[in-house]
Amino acid sequence: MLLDELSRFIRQIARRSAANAQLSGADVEDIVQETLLAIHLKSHTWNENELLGPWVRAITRYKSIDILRRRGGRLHVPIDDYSEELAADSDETQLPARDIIRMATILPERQKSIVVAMFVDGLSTGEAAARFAMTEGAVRVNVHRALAALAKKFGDKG
Amino acid sequence: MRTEDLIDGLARQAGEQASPVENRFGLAEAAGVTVAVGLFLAVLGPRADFADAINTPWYPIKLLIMGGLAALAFPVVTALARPGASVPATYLLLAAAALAAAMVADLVLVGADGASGRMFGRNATSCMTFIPIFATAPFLAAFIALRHGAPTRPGLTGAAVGLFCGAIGGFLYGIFCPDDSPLFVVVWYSLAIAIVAAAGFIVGRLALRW
Repeated sequence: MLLDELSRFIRQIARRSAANAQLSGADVEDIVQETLLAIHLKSHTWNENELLGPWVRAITRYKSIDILRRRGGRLHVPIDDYSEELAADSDETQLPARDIIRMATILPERQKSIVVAMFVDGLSTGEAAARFAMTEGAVRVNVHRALAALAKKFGDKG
Repeated sequence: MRTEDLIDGLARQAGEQASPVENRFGLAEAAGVTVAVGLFLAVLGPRADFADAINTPWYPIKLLIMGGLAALAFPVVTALARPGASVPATYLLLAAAALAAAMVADLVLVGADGASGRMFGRNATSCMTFIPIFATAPFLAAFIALRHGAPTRPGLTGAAVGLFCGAIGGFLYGIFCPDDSPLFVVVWYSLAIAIVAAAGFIVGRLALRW
């Protein structure tokens, strides 16, 4: 289910922060749990029209720093961890390709192929429109519906 | 607790969605600004020569810049309350640019003579006092609403709140204030708004953790 997928994605980010600060595996699970809880409590702060990845990533970072701070103030989150986030305002930072493909399996065929083409293969809206012989507007509608479906799934049990 | 158990628990009670943070912040500010307007009307009210002043260039320019700053700061606050959202902070430069242009216009059109008199104005102390006072109700309302958001940079979010509320305070006090020169505005209004923003930074760090 989607929360499992999500927790795997969160765990990856948390592991990196934890390794840098020499935290244990239990701390990583603490970060994962706090982040899942925060995602649950703050789900209304996700805008359906935006990518899920950057939102989850930002929350995970915030909770990681929170826990690192509580573990005695050794705050060694190297800057190169953030170089990604600094650039992330625009369009990158999606979920890893494997996870997107797996998440997309809940979608209808057409939406799935568009999501995979755009978020895994990295096609632009225009290129996707050309590949699937539809208008850019129709591509956008499909992506929006796909994200809405994922959001529903993610707020609901998967 | 095992992560799997947490996930099961969360999945079971998922469902209702809280309203988006923009709506909450907007509602809270509608209330906060109403209180501030009431306070302004009760304590000061528009200046005596309002009807004449509104036809001069500098009085409306001052109010437009303050209102514009508030309008530009609003979406900055709501974006900061959403993790990973892109923050439209660069538009704030529009307000700074408008103020700078007004300052140059003042120096060119009115002249450098008496510029320091216009800068120090008639009542800088009351400006520094009333702007924070009128900012207070919107300020409190903002922090109550933003507890429902998820600002990953609490200090910065609080500072943006201070900027927004300082601009509201500046707009209201500006309706009363007899000093219209952009030279006065750039020094004293900015200083008063900066004080509110600094207060917001501190309150944000304390109150907006989640």
